[in-house]
Amino acid sequence: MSVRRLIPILWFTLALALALGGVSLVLSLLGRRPDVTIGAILGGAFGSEFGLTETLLRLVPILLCALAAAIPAESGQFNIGGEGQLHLGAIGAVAGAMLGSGHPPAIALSLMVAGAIIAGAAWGAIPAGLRAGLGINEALISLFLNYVAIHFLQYLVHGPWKDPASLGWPMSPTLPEILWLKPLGSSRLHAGVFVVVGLAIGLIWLIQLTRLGFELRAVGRSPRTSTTVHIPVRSYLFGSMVLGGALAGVAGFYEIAAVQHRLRPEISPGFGYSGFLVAWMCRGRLWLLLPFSLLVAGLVSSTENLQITTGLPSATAEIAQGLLLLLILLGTPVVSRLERRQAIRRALEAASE
Amino acid sequence: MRRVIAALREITKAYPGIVACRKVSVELLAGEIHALVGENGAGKTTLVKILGGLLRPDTGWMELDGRAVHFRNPSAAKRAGVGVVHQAGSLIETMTVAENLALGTSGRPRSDGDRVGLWTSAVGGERLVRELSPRERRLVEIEKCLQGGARVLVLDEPTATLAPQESEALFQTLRAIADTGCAIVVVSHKLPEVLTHADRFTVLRKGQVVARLARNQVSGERLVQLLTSGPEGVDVSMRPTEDRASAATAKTPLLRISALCTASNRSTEAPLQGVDLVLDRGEVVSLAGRPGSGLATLLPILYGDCSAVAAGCVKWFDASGKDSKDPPRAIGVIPADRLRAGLVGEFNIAENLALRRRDLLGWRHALSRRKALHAFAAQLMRRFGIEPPDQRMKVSALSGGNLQKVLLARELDYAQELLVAVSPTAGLDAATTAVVRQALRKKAAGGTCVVVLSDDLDELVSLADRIVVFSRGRVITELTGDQLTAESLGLALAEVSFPTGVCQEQRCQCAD
Repeated sequence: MSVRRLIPILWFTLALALALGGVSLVLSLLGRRPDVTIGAILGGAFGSEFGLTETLLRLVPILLCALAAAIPAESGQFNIGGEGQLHLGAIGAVAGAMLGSGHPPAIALSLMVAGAIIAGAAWGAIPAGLRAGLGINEALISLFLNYVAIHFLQYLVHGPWKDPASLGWPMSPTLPEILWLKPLGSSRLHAGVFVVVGLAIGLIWLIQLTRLGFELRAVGRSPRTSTTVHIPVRSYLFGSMVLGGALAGVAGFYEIAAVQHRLRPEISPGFGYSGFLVAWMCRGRLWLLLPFSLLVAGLVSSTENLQITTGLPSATAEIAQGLLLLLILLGTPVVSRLERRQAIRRALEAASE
Repeated sequence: MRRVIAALREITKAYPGIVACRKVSVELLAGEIHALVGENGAGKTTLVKILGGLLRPDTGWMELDGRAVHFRNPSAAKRAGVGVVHQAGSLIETMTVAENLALGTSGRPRSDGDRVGLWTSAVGGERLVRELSPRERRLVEIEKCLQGGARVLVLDEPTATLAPQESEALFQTLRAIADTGCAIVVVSHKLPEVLTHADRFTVLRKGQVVARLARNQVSGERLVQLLTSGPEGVDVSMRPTEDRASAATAKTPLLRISALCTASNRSTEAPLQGVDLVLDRGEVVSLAGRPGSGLATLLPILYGDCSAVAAGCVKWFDASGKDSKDPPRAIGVIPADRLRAGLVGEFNIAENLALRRRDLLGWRHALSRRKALHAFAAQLMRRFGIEPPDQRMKVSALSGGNLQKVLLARELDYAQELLVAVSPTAGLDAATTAVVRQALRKKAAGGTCVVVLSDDLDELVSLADRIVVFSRGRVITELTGDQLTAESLGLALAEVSFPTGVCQEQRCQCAD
């Protein structure tokens, strides 16, 4: 029993070590000392107050986008559209701020949140509706809509929403400072990290323990059985995807309100895709979303900072993430085969007694 | 002494949680029909799969003509001369007999009728497979194996869907094939049949060989005794006649279907053409029909989905006799594909039992609600003797019998007015079959209408108070009382004594 429980954990650890080995190899090819560089990455992510706050700052969008993929995944769907939904959330937040200008900041901020949630949810509703209504593959539609969203944002900042004072840079005007979320202490980190971690725990609790989550998981694991027992399958397919879109939209809101304060084409360095990777690595084990999001957030923030200070290639974080996902996915059949072989051995032993 | 063509030696095969075969040795002799008998879970199907190259044994080996062979895949087995006719069949429905045979050999396309073969000449090479009767399909499959060069012919439950007369004819064909020097293996749970026709028996119980017998060494009682491990065995041939008598009293209707027509566009399933059917509370009704007879069209209507109805009327009655168009709320369903349409494999036993009682779970107090759920699951598991006492065991790891018990427990607990069971005892051993049948009859005695659909004639006959026989979208006859035998049902299905097209004129004249 205990050994069987340990196998996946051992595999995750091994995959992590192998991914680090792969990154080391790449670094050595680039003429860098891998031990020093990897030490710097880990130290930069978790070893200092500055590093830790920067990591937690990235945890917010990555965890939200991971939830945006993981919740539809529980219903058997692939939401690869977190990136686009985040972009739409950012657009919605800025639109909310414009709508609320001249009103008290509480109202303007509420409008920003509402705008982000509605825009993200609406973007998620497109693949959701096509899937639930017509059975069209939601993975492809949500992925393709990412490009539409990114280009729509670019159109806005190059065109109608362009700041006249930006000297030709494609960006919207800066939000009034009263709408900025206050950072904690001297860092860039904002209180949203508590909100998001709380939200994640609440949602995971909802899915694992309540009736709603039970029905959602039943739909994902056996749609035909769910139909037999009168679970509204289409509602769950649609609802989970829309909820995912809304969560990614919230990530867009935080990027606008707490980090960037204006709309720029560089609103996200691929948070949506990082979140999707995290969701895949945790497949079926939702509690892992928190530690894995933290790990990936650390990788992203540390390499970004090292890129500035030591000239580390910006692709390092992507290589590490990609290797990690690849190894964990490769390991899944290996692990299940090991588990199966062990079960067979136990059966043979039990029979020979 | 006849020559040994093929042999299994010390075969062991295990799955997670169960050893399917343990050191099983079987010798197959040229010119003989060899019967593998045993309850379900005895390991027969595993042996068939090993013979056919679908599975590789964990230990042990096969011999052909005295040489050890290891089949890596089904085509290796086929090349070596082992042909397997699986229960589900492997013919392509939309192709002709001749085309299917050509596919079986080497892919050389041949013109229709060119190579229909010895055993299928009566079938006709130009007929589409979907128009064939079950016996004719078996013949085509056999012919396909023989044309592929099979010297060892393995048939898994070849007579499960056949009427007794057809089975007899099929065995005569098998005898003729054996006389050409083939070794034939028949896996069957129909003991009388194999007792009459097989030359040699290997009796399996829980994955081990308990007896090897020749025809003259065995009687029916002895075989049943061996199969069911002696004293604790269950009477396989039970027919609960006492229950039946009590069920005959005081009927109240549940559902009346009159002159029902559907506009079905499904190519393999006939649309309903003026079906009249009454279901009463407290009775077990078997619906019989060949594939394509329209039963699959009728099924959703029984579940309350009338979207396919083109004309006619469907009326439900509540306990006081008042009629309405809406079906009762709690209709229990035991689907044929238990694991995919009835259960969630990745869920554990408790969660699967909760699928119909999701009200036990809630939004708040989720943890204390889970306790209530586990108490509910424990109670159901005790009531139905679901064996692994661990509620947290995944359903996909359960044996077929326990799987069916989980489903049955859930649906029997849920169903109020109507329970529709499709092949409820298919693939179950005698003991579990008895439990399931008893439970269904008890449910009916409690005032629920139980509807049974199945390919297995014995199953239909042994459960039913009456049998309604369908063909080509119509009810062709109804069997009751003394007519409830596999023979008369077989005759009815063969449409020997019943002309078709009787209810053509009765058009749908229902008020709504």
